[in-house]
Amino acid sequence: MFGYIRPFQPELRIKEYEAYKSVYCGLCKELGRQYGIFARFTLSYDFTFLAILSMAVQKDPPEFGKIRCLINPLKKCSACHKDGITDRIAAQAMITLYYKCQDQLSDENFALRLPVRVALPFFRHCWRKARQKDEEYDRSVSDMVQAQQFVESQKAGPDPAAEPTARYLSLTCEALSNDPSQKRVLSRFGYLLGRYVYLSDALDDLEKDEKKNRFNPFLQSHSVCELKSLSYSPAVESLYSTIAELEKAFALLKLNDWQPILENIIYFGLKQSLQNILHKKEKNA
Amino acid sequence: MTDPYKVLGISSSASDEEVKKAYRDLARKYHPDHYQNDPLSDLAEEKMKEITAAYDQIMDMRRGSKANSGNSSPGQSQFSDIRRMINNNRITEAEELLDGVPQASRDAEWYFLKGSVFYTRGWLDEAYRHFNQAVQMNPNNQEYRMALQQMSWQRAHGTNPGSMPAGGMYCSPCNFCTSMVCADCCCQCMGGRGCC
Repeated sequence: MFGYIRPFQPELRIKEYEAYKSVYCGLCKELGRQYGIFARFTLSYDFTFLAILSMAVQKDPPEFGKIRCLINPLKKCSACHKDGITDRIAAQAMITLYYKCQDQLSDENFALRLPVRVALPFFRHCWRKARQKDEEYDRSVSDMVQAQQFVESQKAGPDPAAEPTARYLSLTCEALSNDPSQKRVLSRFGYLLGRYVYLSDALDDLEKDEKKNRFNPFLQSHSVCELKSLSYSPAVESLYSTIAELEKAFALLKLNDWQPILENIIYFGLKQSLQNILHKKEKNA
Repeated sequence: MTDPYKVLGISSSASDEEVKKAYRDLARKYHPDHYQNDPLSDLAEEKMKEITAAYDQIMDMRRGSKANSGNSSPGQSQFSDIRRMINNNRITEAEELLDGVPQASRDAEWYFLKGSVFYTRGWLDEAYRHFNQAVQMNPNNQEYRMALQQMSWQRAHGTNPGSMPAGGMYCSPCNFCTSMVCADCCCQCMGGRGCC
């Protein structure tokens, strides 16, 4: 995943901000403990979100503790840990990272490939270890990669092209609860979230993909120039309807104390990420 | 029995006005119109019932008993069995049957149902395209128009009418306007209860 699922900070209350940060720190610490110091630098917002969502659908609260931060060792920060969640999300982050690196090896040019190639044995080592913790997740990511290659070869439009990522996140979210009706909600929620992530990334990469002649679902019916003259409306409208549907599924989730942070991410953060992508395009133009 | 005040997210000392407001906000959020064709509509309906029951209970407790009931209208069409399948979440079967219909007999209802299948699967662009086609072929059908209206709103705003996190602390003048418009809609849909 790509870091599009993040909170909108100005609307976060301080206690929510602290709680969010402590989940991030807890995950970072777990990555360091299990996979070594380099793994700590690979942590993304998306997995912090997944960790919070996992905790939000559970009954028992997590534990909070103090740790020293790697970036600033003089400062102690609070870290949130929950057995069965923190370690699983850390494993999922490493598994996803490994597949993403492999994907980059086939996509990027030589200069960009080099650092990835150097790091790959390390990621592979982490992946082997992580895979044992969550085999089901590993399978859903590898299925996604395969399905993605297929839809790209078919030159698919946005709906079918988003399907593999959407399906993968749907399975991942669905696995977070044992309650049948919550499972249904989480499944749709995950699907739409995956669709959002995929389409955001596609919108973000438009220019790059056109230049390098790579697959992009929005470039199947328009060129970058045409999209620009339409203010990217085909992509924006598709993303907007995805967010709106996501809000509806989200409203049906039964959540505990973590709800306000998740609300912030769903109601404000997602739209903010989209605005950031559009601002970036405006600035580069 | 759950605490009706908890269901509405308010304290038992809330004034009648606050109870009404909490009820109205939640009813707007979970209103069946928002979840029309949604695969999770049954859960939204449950939630709606829970909210309404809580509101009724509080109002009963406060002013003696008073009965009320909602209503819904069933639809009729030539593809009624396919429609039933979609309502029961049997999407793959419904889609197979729809795809088997020859091009010449694909009417507005066909496009609407196909759009519903896409919608259920999360293929929102295709769903929008098909709802649009259904409305163009039969502009008088209220159901098609509502489905298209909902998606058009979502595509323009990235949210649903009147849906915002609870608590009211995110209120801006703009949200206030849309809230008023929606409160007005709710008034009409639900026979004026709880409002005005």
